[in-house]
Amino acid sequence: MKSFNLLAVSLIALVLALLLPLLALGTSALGVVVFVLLLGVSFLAAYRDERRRTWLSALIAVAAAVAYPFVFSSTQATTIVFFALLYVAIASSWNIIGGFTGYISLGHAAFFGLGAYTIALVADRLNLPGGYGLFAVALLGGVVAGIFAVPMGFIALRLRTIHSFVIVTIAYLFMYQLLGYNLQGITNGSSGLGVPQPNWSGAFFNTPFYFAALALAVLTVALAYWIRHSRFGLGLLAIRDDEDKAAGVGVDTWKHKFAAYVISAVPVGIAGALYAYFSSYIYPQTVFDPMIDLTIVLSAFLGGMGTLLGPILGAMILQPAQQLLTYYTGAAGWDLVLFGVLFLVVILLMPSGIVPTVVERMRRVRVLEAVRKADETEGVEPNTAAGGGAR
Amino acid sequence: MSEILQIEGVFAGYGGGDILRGMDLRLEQGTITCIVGPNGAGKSTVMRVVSGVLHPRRGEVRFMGQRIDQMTPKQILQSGIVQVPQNRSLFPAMTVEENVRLGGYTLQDRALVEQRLAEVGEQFPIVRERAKDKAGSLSGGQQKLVEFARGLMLDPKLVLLDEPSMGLEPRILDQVFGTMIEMCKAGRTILLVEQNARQGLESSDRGVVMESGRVLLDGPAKAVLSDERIGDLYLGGHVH
Repeated sequence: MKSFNLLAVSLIALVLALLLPLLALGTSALGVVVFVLLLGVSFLAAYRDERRRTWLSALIAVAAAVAYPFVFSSTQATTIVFFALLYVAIASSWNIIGGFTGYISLGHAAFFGLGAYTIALVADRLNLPGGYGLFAVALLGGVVAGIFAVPMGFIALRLRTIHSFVIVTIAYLFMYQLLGYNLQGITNGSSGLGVPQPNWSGAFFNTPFYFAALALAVLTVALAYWIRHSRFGLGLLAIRDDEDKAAGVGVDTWKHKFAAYVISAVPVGIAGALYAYFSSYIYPQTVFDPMIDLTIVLSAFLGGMGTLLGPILGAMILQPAQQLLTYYTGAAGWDLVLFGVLFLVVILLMPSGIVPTVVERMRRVRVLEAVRKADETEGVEPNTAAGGGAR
Repeated sequence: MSEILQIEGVFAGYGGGDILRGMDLRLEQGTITCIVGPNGAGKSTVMRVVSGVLHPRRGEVRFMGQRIDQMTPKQILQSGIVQVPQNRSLFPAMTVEENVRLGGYTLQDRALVEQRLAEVGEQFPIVRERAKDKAGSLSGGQQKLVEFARGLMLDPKLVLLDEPSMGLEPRILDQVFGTMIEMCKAGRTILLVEQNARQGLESSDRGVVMESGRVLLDGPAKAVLSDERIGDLYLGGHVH
């Protein structure tokens, strides 16, 4: 029942993510037809069995994403989805501590920057050439982010109130930005660092990056899925709901929060490294950027915090929108205006985000339907008491 | 029948003096014992001592022959004593099933968790029927039943029920107490603390009246219920 909603929502996300750039870039209608067909097939096939539905929708989403760069190979089309996938990974990873556990970190860009500087520094110091090998170094960016997250989490999570946790994480971000500017010997300060580029030519240049981002996104979502359905994840949700009660049923709350924080840093670090490699040059203000945190949080809020699909959906909508706005308006900051407006709309109209709102609506419709059917078969007038009880 | 719990000469309090002053209580296996008494008599403190939240200053608590008065709440939980607290203790934003699963959180064996979940679902239909609904969307009485179900995930020998009727509408009380009696029939021992003395005693085998931190009267629930002094003092006048 639930997964049917999930399926629908995930497909909407997919279609939005893929069609937005297409429509904007004026690609042929062929693509649209292909994806609409895929959509129809998936709905038909998935309608029968619940568990299969979830897997099938995931499979279709991945298959479509794999096919995408072959169908739409223009640099703009792949760039936009590359960034969207990067943010799917970042937001899903952030969701482990922010959404599942309820500890909102506004400093995850610190891990993004750590990953970015890791790949730049390792490539520079070891004189590594651009090429496929640097993708392995990007993984190292995740490891470094995870290692740095250990003392950071140790300090930030000593605070019992979530508000103080938020403040400390913001402080982390600016701390790292300052270090980026001032540790000139390592980071080259505000002049930034370059990352050696591969000699892939033409439209193919984006393809390896695209697939690296896709792999990261898929693995991160799989990680989040696994955590959400594990005993560990059950403990995290309990902490979010009520930390004292969680401790009361035997959840080791500190260990859980700490593990969630460290785990959630790793994919963000890898994403930062991929970003650095892709964009070829990094500065403290572009990788330790508060905008990254705003994008993460807004993605999660928009889609639905604490749900698996929420951050995916949010990132899939926001990133292409942001990229397109920048593309059309130049760097005039219209994306910031969009973010502001979206934030207000989400908070006013659906404070729990798209996924929970849609799921709840559909559940209500279904319950009402069931009640009506039951009343019909019993030959009773529909009554409000039954409807109230089913709420 | 054997004694499952023995409380002997327990003195305990919260720093500002003792609440329990020489408390003695023995529970027979497979029975329901109801503690009644005025506010401040120490009813809930007995629960806290047995569940390990409060360590007694003097005296002993033994569970199945083993001293438990200095154990941590977690150790006591694992030894087979589960408490269903007074106020609402479910996680409102989590589903009914997740809540019940959390009852077995300390179990490492996943297969055992699944097996217990199935058993509990058998015993409490609401756990199956409303499995995917948020616990916070259930009525007070339904939540209490889910709390019972959660408590049974560890297959406890002794269940401590602290004021299960609190905040519930009267018509659901029969169901709550009925469920309690069924848990007892399944072989569990139940220690109940109840403000709603009449209904509590009516559903119990034994009644214990407490006053000022010790036992004033102890006997078959029916006898306690019909004791005139008790009726006047704690049950709000005429019982019959």
